[in-house]
Amino acid sequence: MNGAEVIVKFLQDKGVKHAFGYPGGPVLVLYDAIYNAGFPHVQVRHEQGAIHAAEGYAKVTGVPGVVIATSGPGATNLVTGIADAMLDSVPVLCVTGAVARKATGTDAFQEADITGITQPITKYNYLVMTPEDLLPILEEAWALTTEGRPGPVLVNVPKDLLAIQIDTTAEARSISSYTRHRPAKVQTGAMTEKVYAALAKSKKPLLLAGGGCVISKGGVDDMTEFIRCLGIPVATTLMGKGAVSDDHSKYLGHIGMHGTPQANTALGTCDLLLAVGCRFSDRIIGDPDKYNLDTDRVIIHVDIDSAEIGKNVRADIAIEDDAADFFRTMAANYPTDRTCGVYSEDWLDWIDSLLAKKKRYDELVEAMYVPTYPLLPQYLIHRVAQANKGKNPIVVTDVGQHQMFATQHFPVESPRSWITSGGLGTMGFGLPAAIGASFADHSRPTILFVGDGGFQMTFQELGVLANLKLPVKVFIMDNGSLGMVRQWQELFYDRRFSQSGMEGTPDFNMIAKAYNLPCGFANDEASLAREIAKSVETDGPYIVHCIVDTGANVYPMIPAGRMPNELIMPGMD
Amino acid sequence: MLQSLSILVENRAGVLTRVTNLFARRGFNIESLAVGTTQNPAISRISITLLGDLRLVDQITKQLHKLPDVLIVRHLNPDDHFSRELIFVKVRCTAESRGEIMDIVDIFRGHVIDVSPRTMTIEMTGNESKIRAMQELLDPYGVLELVRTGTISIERGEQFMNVEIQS
Repeated sequence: MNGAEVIVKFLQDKGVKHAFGYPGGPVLVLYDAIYNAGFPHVQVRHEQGAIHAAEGYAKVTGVPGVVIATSGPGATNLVTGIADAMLDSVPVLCVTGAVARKATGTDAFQEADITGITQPITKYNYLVMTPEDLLPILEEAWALTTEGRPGPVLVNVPKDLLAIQIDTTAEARSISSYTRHRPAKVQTGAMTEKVYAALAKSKKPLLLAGGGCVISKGGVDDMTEFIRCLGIPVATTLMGKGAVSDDHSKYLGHIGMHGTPQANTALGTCDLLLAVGCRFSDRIIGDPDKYNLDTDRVIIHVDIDSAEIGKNVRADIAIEDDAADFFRTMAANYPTDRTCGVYSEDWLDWIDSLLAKKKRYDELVEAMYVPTYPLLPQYLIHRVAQANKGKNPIVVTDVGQHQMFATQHFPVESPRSWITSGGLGTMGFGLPAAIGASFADHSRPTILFVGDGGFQMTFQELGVLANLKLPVKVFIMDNGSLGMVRQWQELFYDRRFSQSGMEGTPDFNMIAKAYNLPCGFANDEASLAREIAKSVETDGPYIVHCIVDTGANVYPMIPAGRMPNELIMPGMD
Repeated sequence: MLQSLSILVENRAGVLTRVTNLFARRGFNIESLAVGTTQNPAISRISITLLGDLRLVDQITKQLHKLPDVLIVRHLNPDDHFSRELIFVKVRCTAESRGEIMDIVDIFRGHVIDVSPRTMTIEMTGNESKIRAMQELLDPYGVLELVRTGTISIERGEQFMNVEIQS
């Protein structure tokens, strides 16, 4: 077998069902092997589309998404997506072609040092220089994508190495022959008593569930059982959405800059914070010093990545463990004397006060669900959610105001059904990620909310949608501006709307029609109802160009650097 | 305060960049860096000294542990290890000052390794404070060039860093 065939066979052996990619010079041999093996490959329109699609695929399945790109510009087009996958802990394996080994470093045609470029934004990356190393490197790379905290790994393979015959029958050699010495992890088993003792002392505890609870196998079920045992109130981060069912009696919604008043109040005023699978990003905590200096609050931080513990916020109790293992071990060791939890008066009072806030907030939200002209984005998302209730849709967003509105107003029905670009906040993520997500599971609808700005960043991928006829329902929420930028300019830059208005926006229906995709237009209650109904009835893709109110701002909002309980919410006392 | 880290790594391509990038990314400043192979040529030892507190050392150690190339990271106890650095100093001299300079070099147990009519080149081994002390004494004569290898460290007694037979 030549190097290319080794790669294709490797992917087949790992059960990879689809690769997302784009051919080019140095990977011609690889694409020849793909052709000969009949290996399923999705041809995107731009390499950024390939990596976002692979991310969408991986976020739905938990299985690494596979990306193939050529050298130079092909590989550099992956960079944004790789950084996105790194920040959101998405397992992605990128195989890139490189110029022939003898040309390495000579500024050859289409050469870019992609191993150097992506080194800080991958979990690890490789430049294969010896034929015998190819297979062991692929094995190590594949394992690394999902080991511990998942993330992107890149393998860069020179063109001549793809063509060279490789003896794979030889004794499998490992590229690493030495033991890696790591300190023993402080895991849950040794800490249950300490955690329960802290919980028993607490009068106002909060469980904060991050993306790790969704990623961890079985994490959601184990967490639900833990919450049932304790009766602890729970909030989620943006990435943790879906970890708790929206109608759970102890669920406060999501925290963060645009989180709910009850969740943010809980975060700002709790006396014990049990944070599991989250990394205390600045969008959640604002100013870390306010947590680090406030020593009255007990912070328990559980994360599979030890390096996250103590990185942004101090941890009084640090547990280096997988979320599911943590919840399972904790629930199994629930103290029989019931010294903490649901039976405590303090806890009940605390939960009641938070639920009272929730009730007030829910009323304010309900008041947004009215048809107006122009349409309120909150109303639009609510209507789409209602129309898809019970269908367990995969909800995908791009980045900006609509993303926050979707977080607030679209309850997802199962974990791994909320696909968004959190850490990097990548505009243009939405459409290709929705395609990848739908690839992973097209037995249920995928709903994409995307702004007019973000859509114009990657809408070339409509070609893939048109080809594959996947059930992706696209709602382009056109407010004629870059809404989140506009909102900040309105609130913090004296309404100097510098470059946030967008002139020359095309007729998105004409674009959809150019791809022969079914589409419609909505700008009021009746047309929205009609288009939502059509999107549900139509098999395969459907595009709706929606005009929404430019002036609608995302509230609640915590100004940057402030404490979570200092949030702005018009109408809320 | 100055902290010493010793790191054993596999000699894979780019490993030094990976390690030093972890410092650069977080804005941690490396005071001194020395790299060389160990008794096993497939394994290198990176000795780093940096200015910072224990929280910083803890964070950087955890980040280093995430790299597959990294085999062992050890934060050396300040009271329990030796640190040395080799330096070359080229200093201006005249027939009159040559004797004085040689006296200084002798006190610091350095060696004169080269002499020209107007310069002397000195080799000296020592820790940070010894190097600083000698430099201060040589400055008045005119230090033309000073080259340092970076600090290497080893623990006292029976402790050792070795991937095959770990203490």
